[in-house]
Parts: sequence; structure tokens; C-alpha cells
Amino acid sequence: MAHPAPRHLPFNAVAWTIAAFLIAALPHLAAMPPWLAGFIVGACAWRLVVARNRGSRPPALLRLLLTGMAIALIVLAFGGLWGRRTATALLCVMLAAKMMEMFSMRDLRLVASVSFFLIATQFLFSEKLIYLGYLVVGSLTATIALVRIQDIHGRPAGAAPVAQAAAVRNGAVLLLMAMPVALTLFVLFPRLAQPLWGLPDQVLDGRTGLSDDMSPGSISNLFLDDSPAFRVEFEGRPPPPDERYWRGPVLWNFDGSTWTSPFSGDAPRRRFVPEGEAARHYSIQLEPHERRWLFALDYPVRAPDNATVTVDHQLLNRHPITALTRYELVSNPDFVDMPTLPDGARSLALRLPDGRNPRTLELAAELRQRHPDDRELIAAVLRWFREEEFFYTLSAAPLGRHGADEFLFDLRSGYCEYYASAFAILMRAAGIPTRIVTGYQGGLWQGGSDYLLVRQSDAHAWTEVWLQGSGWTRVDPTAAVSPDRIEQGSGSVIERPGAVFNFDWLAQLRNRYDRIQHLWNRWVLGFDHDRQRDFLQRLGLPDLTPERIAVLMLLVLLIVTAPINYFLLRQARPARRTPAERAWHGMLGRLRRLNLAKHPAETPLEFAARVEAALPQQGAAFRSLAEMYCRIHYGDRAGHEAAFLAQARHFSPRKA
Amino acid sequence: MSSRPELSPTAGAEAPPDSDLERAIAAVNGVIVDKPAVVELAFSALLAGGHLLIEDLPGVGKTTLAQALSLVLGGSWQRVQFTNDMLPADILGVSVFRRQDELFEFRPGPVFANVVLADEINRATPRTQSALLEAMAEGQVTVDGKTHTLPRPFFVIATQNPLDMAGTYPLPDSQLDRFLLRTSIGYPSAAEERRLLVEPDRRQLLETLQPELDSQRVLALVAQAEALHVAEPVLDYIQALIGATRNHAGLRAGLSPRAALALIRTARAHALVRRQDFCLPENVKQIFPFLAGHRLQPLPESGLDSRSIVEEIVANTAVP
Amino acid sequence: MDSARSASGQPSQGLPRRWFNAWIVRRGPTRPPLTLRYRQIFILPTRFGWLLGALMFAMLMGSLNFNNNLGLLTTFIVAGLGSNSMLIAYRNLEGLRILRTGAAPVFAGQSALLLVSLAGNAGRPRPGLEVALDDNEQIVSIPANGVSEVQLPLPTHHRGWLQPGRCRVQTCQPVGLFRAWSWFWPERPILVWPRPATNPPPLPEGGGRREGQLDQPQADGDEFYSLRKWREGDPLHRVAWKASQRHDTLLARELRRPRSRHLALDLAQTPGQDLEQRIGVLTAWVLTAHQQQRAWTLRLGPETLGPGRDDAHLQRCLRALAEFQ
Repeated sequence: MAHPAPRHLPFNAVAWTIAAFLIAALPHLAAMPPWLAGFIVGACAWRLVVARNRGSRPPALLRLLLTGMAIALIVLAFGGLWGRRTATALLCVMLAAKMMEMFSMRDLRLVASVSFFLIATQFLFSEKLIYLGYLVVGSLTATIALVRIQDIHGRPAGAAPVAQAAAVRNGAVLLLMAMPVALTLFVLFPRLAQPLWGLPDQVLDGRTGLSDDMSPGSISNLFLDDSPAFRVEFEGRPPPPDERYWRGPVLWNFDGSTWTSPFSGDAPRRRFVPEGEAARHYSIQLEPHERRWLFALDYPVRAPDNATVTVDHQLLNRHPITALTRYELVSNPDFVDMPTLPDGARSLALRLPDGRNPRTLELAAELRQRHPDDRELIAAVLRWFREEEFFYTLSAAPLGRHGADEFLFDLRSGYCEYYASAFAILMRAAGIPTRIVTGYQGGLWQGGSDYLLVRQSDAHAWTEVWLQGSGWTRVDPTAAVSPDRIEQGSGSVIERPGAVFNFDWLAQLRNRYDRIQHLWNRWVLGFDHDRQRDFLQRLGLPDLTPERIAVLMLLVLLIVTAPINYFLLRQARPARRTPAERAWHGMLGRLRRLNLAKHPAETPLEFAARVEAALPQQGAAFRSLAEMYCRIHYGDRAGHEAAFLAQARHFSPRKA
Repeated sequence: MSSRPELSPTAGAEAPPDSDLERAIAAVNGVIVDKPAVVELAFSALLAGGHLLIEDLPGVGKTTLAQALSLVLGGSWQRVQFTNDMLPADILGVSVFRRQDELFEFRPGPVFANVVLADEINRATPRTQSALLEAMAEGQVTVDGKTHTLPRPFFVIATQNPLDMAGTYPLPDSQLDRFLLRTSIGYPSAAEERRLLVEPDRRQLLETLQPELDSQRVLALVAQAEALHVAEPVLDYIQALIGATRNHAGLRAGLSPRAALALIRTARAHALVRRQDFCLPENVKQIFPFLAGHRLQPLPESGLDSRSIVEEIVANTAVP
Repeated sequence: MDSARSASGQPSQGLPRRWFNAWIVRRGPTRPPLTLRYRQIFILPTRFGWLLGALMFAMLMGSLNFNNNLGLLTTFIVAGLGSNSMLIAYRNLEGLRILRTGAAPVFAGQSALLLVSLAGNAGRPRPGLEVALDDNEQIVSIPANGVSEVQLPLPTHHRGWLQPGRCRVQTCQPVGLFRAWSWFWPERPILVWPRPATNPPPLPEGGGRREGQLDQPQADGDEFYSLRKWREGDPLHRVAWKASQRHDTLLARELRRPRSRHLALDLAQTPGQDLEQRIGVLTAWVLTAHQQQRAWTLRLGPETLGPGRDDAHLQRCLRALAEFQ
């Protein structure tokens, strides 16, 4: 059946569709190069103007040209990198191109429904609480757009379109009615214990968070990022601030400017780590960062499911973390890592590139001469850091070829990466095996909700030196320079560019918001296979297989949709019946059981005559009751009601 | 019209068992035997202040019914046999110039009576019919610029012969609603027909009839009917019936609000005739076909006549 | 109605289609007046519904795989929208009453307008109902407790009774994801009058007045026609006194005016090469006569209609012409 498309789509439907698209695309647009976002918004604006002026679509060649150009520009802008951002940008551009030829109902519907898809893809990037609002507004707009589009066709010729308010209300009611189903599915839809497939790493285009290498001076913007990295809940008291070192990638190789992991860095740990007496039990909710590593306190006893512990005690997930992930850990802080150092590891931990940092090497030699003992040497260096004019600052200059030299002797100001890197070079030059550990340090204790919030700005780098007797030992040179950084967190030392806004109440507000976000993460986003199982078990249901959960889901769906079905399919509510009417209909019901049903068009007395013929014994009684009922129902003799009610109740017809 | 449900008379009912209205009805039933429903309809039309059209074959007693009604009602009555050469003045009256006092004197026609029996109304030309129909609608007559009010009560019983179409002028559809009810009498039952054959001519019985009511009494009864209680469910039922005619695809148009008012009025009168003190759905149900039948025009393409449509509507409308 | 032709294009329907129709008929009443119940209502996703379903599946797989709970929630909201759409589409038809279908007669070649009148029950409005017969589709909305009508044009080709084929009433409310539909058959065939001949020969004058045919009495006539019994209201000057005296009863003169002769239209005497042509000519003549307000009789084989000149006579004649075999 071909719907003859109206020559011009109504402005209303086009406008709602474009609104749905723009709202769904908003976060994507924000992440795009501005000129690309401009192209998309421009296409929408052009379409709106055309809809208003009842113009026609541009020639096919022009459309093709513009679309081709936009796609070419995307390839250029994203460097041909086939990441998710590229894919969503491409989708947005395709839809914007569709705008130009969106001249049939089908096109409008396509754009409106792909808006839902756009909304869903945004959650691959972030699932923050505010995106719940985005989801609600976006799907509401898309639903209203669908209602408006349906109205183009489903309306008698010449009839006025549905009023704006009515369309909005219809959309809202539709969405509201979808909620019971959506929530039931959300809670009971069987989750996957294992992903079906992992994302190929190159699809992930990275975002804020630690990287797997470190070059002092190249990244400092991470420290300005207040977004949460992860949250930790402890069993028992949280560790003191100076023990909150969250271990991430461990870097061994230094090429003169950048520290990287060795190729063998992913090798699994073979050593058994006992729980020990001071074991800490805690669980972490990790925000997606699209890398494989998980963070832990030293030293994780065992890896969570789907993860391994590397030889460096780093936790590596099997797949990149693309969604909020929760894992439970036990850490033993008293574990001694590598009481004896294999030769291979020792040489790796002492290797320095040739021809770099001559002054540092000189200093190392001098120190070695003065302090034969490794521990004394380290203490001397830290004392030097503390007593000389070293400063902790985020506005540090980039370093050149002899980075450590420049830092230690000329600049003397920088942040953790500078100190860690320079310290490690100094140690290696002095013959002490050293490696760099990156991760997070500290975290803000959210007293009210009992969890530790670790932000991206808590990112940190420190060193581990190998000492005879105590194995790898953490040394944080930054702590020597700026103890506050360690004790009070990154916020205490960072001079923010927008300091005007850095009021206390704002910080409090932010913390309060994070507590809500935490609950959201915990109960909504963190609702995974395990949580679902726990939840069902708490409801008293045994460990259910996914198939059984699916059956349970269908059952609950039936139950929760029953009220909706009733609401939708109920007959118009009859007026409230009077007691006499109820009694009368009760008698009719009893007679119906004897196959004596009153036809709707029969009057009570006509029916009574029929009953009289069918039930010779009780017919007369019923007739008199019918006459009483008529007097009450059609007359104004309300006084007879009591007698009628009493008699009607006792009327029980029987077949002769 | 098969069953006639009867509410047992209650104390305080407006009409006592041997009231004049009852006696009048009984008297007419004595002449028109075996047609109580038709007699009820006729009295209902009278007490609702409307006019009655009887459409049936010759010889079934149209004229007898009309004459019997006229006789028991008392007051003045006139019978007009319509013919094709009748002029409006033959009905309404003429102004005659009186030589002696040099004045025009109005000589009222047969229409100036409480009960007018218009026999074979479709034999008259449309002009003459119109004159009567207008007088019926307006309750007054205008001759030579002067308006003369008709007496009250004013009750026209018209008869017409549906089959004898040759040489007749059927009443135009648009003016049929001047009649409140249209009914037919129908053939008598076999037993009744047998009685008719052996007994003396019914027409002779007419002579025995005496006026049971008078004009004042009829007017009082009309007022009494108007005050009868009609409950909400009955009004709902009336609305449902009227609505069904408006929604029926086989009809050119539904019943007008005026017809709805007429239905209520007639249902009240019907209830009074049955000595009920409130209106029952039965009253509406039994009146409705005779009130709606001639007011509805079926679409020719529907292939239905108005009677079957009305029956269908009554059979499909729920009684609240 | 056996002679009624089907209007669904092909005169002979395939066996599967007939079986299918029989199956529909077994499921419930299919001729108006009828009320649609669940057995008569069918529902399937539209193309757009399938599209959104595929989109939903993609969203589901992606969100499940990455354990993306907000993505899942979005997916399930779409699922909820879909399941409610199905329900709403169904309830838009459930309890719908198809009161009546009918069409005014038309001349062959014209389009008959099949009138379908629909009413809701359950006191809810029913927007966006599509009523379709073959390729013709009309959209209608029924207000709560109201009645609406649609007119479906139906091309006609031959005179006679035309039985319209299967009609469909469907709805894609509220957002076009699901189509609920039901089938019904119009309750009675449509009368198709013969196509009047273009340029017919002139009316056959001098046909005639047949023996025994009575003229209509005319009130203003002045030609004596007969005597009849005096009736009240007869003017005195009409009384035939002499005759009355003879018969011992009052007799009146009945006057009639001789009327112009009526046309006698006879199929046997109508020019034309075949039956259809002659019927076409007759149709044109009947229409002309009616237009000129002349009385006529129509003779088709053994049957004679008339004389008459009013609308009813015209309708009778046209119907007889349409049905004549």
C-alpha cells in the first residue's frame, strides 16, 4: 500500500524530528571538531527553513557532493582512525545529509528512530548521572516526533493536526507507559557474565586517564580533570592517606624522554601472595577508561574474574574497561616483592640511555661515593629535595634532551612525573634498581556515604627501588617536596586557572553530587551479572540460570503490564450504580445462569414477562420485584428501596 | 406491542380506576375492538397536544376510530371528506360580504372545531392539504389578512389510504411531521373478524357513544401529562434512540431535537393513558416507531424502508 | 446475490485466496453490522516496526556486551514503546463497530462511492483508522462515542449488481510501529445502472396509450369522466341531480382532464446492435423523459413498468434496466 506522501511535510513534524536528532546528537556534537558540528547544525537549520518555506529538496548531485565532502572531511579530521567517535560522527553526518533529502514520512521516521540509537551510543562514552536527563529528554522528544510523524498520515484529509499540547501529552504518556516494561527488563534481563566479543583496541580512541607511558611535561591537563576515576568502599577503616597508592602501569624502560612498560610487562605473576595479617578488603567501582588495567592497593592477593596480575603486581583486565566496572580485592601491604632480584630484572632496572643527563650522572657518582649504603643514599636525595629550593607546581616547563639535568639543576619546579622521572634516573645512575609506578594517590573520603572518591586529578607517579632485604620499596620523591600533596590530596597543591570559582560551597556541592553519582553507579550502572544474581538471591530465588531468569522476566512482564493493558483496554467506565441497580443486575446475573439473559434492548417488565413464562413458580415473584425496581429506577419512589433490596437479595431462581 | 406491561395501580395515582379518561378509552375500545394499542396511541397523541395520522386500507375502521374518538371527547367536532376539487377555503372558511351592514363576515370552515376528522387527506390537492397542515402547526388561521385562533384543544385525526395511489397527492415528506404520530390499524384477528361478521355493524355502536370528556378536562389532562415524572434513565433511553437515528447510515438525516421533545411529551401522555404516575421505557419504546417512522427518510440506495430501520434501532438500543 | 460480480479486480480469485477468505470468515462475523473482537483483529509490525526492531537488537547486543546499563535502559524504553504500540494499535480496533455499508447506484463507468459508517464503543476516541477497498484508502477518526463515515470510490464497469470485495480497516497508531487490521465484506451489492448511450436516437413519440389504461384524475379537469357516490365536501354544483334521482342516491360527477399521451419505451422496438446497446439507448431515453417531465412506460420483455414520471418510477426503471438479462 503506497501512501501518497504529502507534497510538503508539515513544519511541525520536521521541527520535532530535527529537535529529537539535535538533542540526541548534542554530546556527540560537543566532542566533534567545531566545523563538523557546524556542518550538522547548519544542515538542520537549512532543513527547518525549507520546511517553513515549503521548499523542495536540493538536486541529487549537490546532496551527493555535500555528503561526500563531509565524509572526506571526517576521514581527514579523525585521521582515518576507525574509532567510536569517528563512527558516531559519521552517523551524525549521514543523518544530517539525510536531512537534506528528508522529504518523506519514512525519512522522518528513520531520523527519529536513529535518535534513540544515538542516545544509546553516547552511553558508551559516559554514563554519568546527568545523562539520565539526556536520556529522558532525548527519548521524549523522539517519541513526540514519532507521534507527530504518525499524525501526518493517520489523519483524515482536511482534519486539523493534533494540537501541540496533545501531541506532547501523547508522547509523554507513551513514554511513561513504556516505563514498567523498561524497568522490568532492566532488572531481569539476563546479563552476560562474559562479553560476547571484545572491542578491538584500535576502536578505542582513549580519553582522560592514565596512559601506558610517561614523559614528564607532556601531560599535565589530567591534573585539572575533576572527573572521578574510581570509587572505593572498604571493609573496615580506610587506610591512612599516605598509604593510598593505587597501583597502575609499571614502567621500566626509559629512552631519554619517555618511560614505557617492557614487552614482558603483561606476563602473569607466578608468585603466591598470602593475605597476611594486615590484609585490606575493599571493592572498587572503576569508571570506564578504555584501558585494560585495574587499580589496586599494594599488593593484590588475587585478581578479580576476567583479570590477571602481572609480574609487576599490576591488575590487567582481559578486555578494555568500557563500562563502569566493579571488582572486589584483597591487598596485603606487608608483602615483600622480590626478596632476590634476578639478573635480567636488575639490568632492566638499571638501564639508562647513553649520552643523556651528564650532570645527573655526575651527581649520582658523587652521592654514591659519599653514601655507600643504598638506604642512606636515598635518604640523602630526599633530604636534598626537601631542603633545596624545589617546588611542586603544575605549570612546569617542558623538558629538553637532558631532562633530568634541566629539572634537578635549573628548573627545580614541576609535578610528580618530573620528580619521579628525575629521581629514577638519579637512582639508576647510582646503581640502585628503580622502576616507575603510575596510578593514583590519595582520594577524597566521602564521610557520609563511606567511600573514597579518587578523581583523575589524583593521578600520580612514584618510584620503587629495590633494596636488599626489603625487595621493591616504594619511594615517593614528590612527598619529600610537597608532603601536602600526599596528605591532603591533589586539590591542596593545584593552583587552578579558574580559581574564582573555587569556593568551598562549590566543592561541597560537587562532593554531594558525587555521592549521588556514587549511588547511581552502584545501583544502576553497576547492576551487572553478579549484582543481578545477588539481587535475585536476596529475593529468595535460588541461583538462576539465564534461561530461568528469562522465564521469570516474562512472568514479571506479564504482571507489570497487566495494569497497562487494563488501562488501555478497559471499557468506558459505567456510571456508578445505585444499590438498587446493583441488586437488579445481581438478579439478572443469577437468571443468566439459567440461560435467561436479559437482552439489552428489553425493558425490565418485558424481561419479567419472559421470566414469568420460563419460570412458572418464581416468575410472579420476579415480576413483582421488577415492578418495584421500575418504580425505584424510573419513578421517584426512593422509599421502596429497602424492601426491594432485601427481597432482591433473597431471590434465587431455580429451574423448575 | 405484544405485551402490555402494567404497573399495578398505586394509591395516589393521578387517575382513579373509574376516571373519565379511563371511561373514554374503554368506550372507544368498545367500538374498535381488539385494537387497544391503537386506541392508546390515539389518546397519547391527543394528550400530548399533537395530531394523528392513520394510514391504512379502506375498511379496517379508520373512520370509525376517528369518529369514536371525536364522540367521546365531547366538544365540537367536524368531519371533512377531502376530495380533489376542494379549495383551502373549504377547510379554513371564507369572508363573506354582508350586504346589510356592509361588512365582511368570517364564516369559519370545518377546521374550527376541537376535533377535526380529515378523511382521505391525500385526495385533496397539495394547496388544500397545506392549508390544513399550516393550521395544525400554528393553531390559527389567517384569512384575508385576519388571524383567527383555532379552539383548544385542537386535535386533527387524518386518514389516508396508502395503496390507492392513483389520483392522490401523498403528503409531502417535509410536512408529515406536522402529525405527531402516524399509525395504522391493521386487519382484525380471525376471532374478531368472525365477531364482526355476525354482530351488527360497528357503525351503529357509534350512536351509543356519549362524550366522556370535555374541552376543559382534556386541557387539564394535557397539563397533567406534561407534569409526569421522567427519570434520568428514561431520558438516557430517549437520547440513545434519537442518537441512533442520527448515526444510522441508511437514513438521510436523524431525528431533530424537536422530534426528541415530541418523543418525551408523547411518552408522558402514553404513561398517563396507561394510568402510570411516571414514565417507563416501555412508553418510549412503544411510541417511538409511530413517532419516528414518518419523520425519517431512508436513503433509496439502502434498500430499507423507514419502518424496518426504526425496528432495527429499537431492537439494538439498550434500555438503561 | 449470486449474480453479483466481485470488484476485486480479477473475476476469478485464486484458490489460496479463497481458502484464506474462508478462514477469515470462520473467525467471526465479516458483514456489517459487526463489532471487531480479538479473533478478527490481526496485528504485525510495519516496515518501520521491523526497522526499529533491528535497531533495538543492535542496541541490545552492544549494551549487553559492554554491560552498558544506560544503553540497556534506552533499549528497553524502545522495547516498552514497541509493546505498548502494539497494544494501542490493537485497542484502536478492538470493539470498533462497522455499522453499515452502502452505496448509491451509479451509472456503469462512474465510480460508486461505498459508504462505510463506523462507530466506536467503550467511550474512547479512535484516531487514524484507514479504511481501504482494493487500492482506495480513506482515513477516518472516530470521536469518543461518535460515528464517522468514509466513502470509498469503487470503479464500475458493467451494469447489474456489483459485489464489492474484501474491505480492510486498519490502524498504525500511535507511532506507526504496528499495523492492526481486520477484514470485512460490504453487506450488500451496489446497483450499477446501465451506461446511458451517448447521442441516443430521439424519443419514440407516438408510442401510445394502451387500451384499458386509466388516466389520472385531475382536479382542475373539465371533461366529464364518470359518476360516483357523493361524498361530503363535494360541491353542490357537481351533483348529478338527474342521475341521483334515477339511482335513489346522491351521485356526483367526477371530472378529469385528458392527459398528454405518455411515451411507450419498449426494448423490442429500441434500435441497437446488441442488447447492451439497446439497454444503453433505453437508459438514455428514460433519463430524457424524466428530465422533460413526461410520463413513460418501460417494457422489458414480458414486464411493463409505469406509466409514471416521478423519481420513484425512474428508479424502478433504471433498476429493471440494470438487472435485465
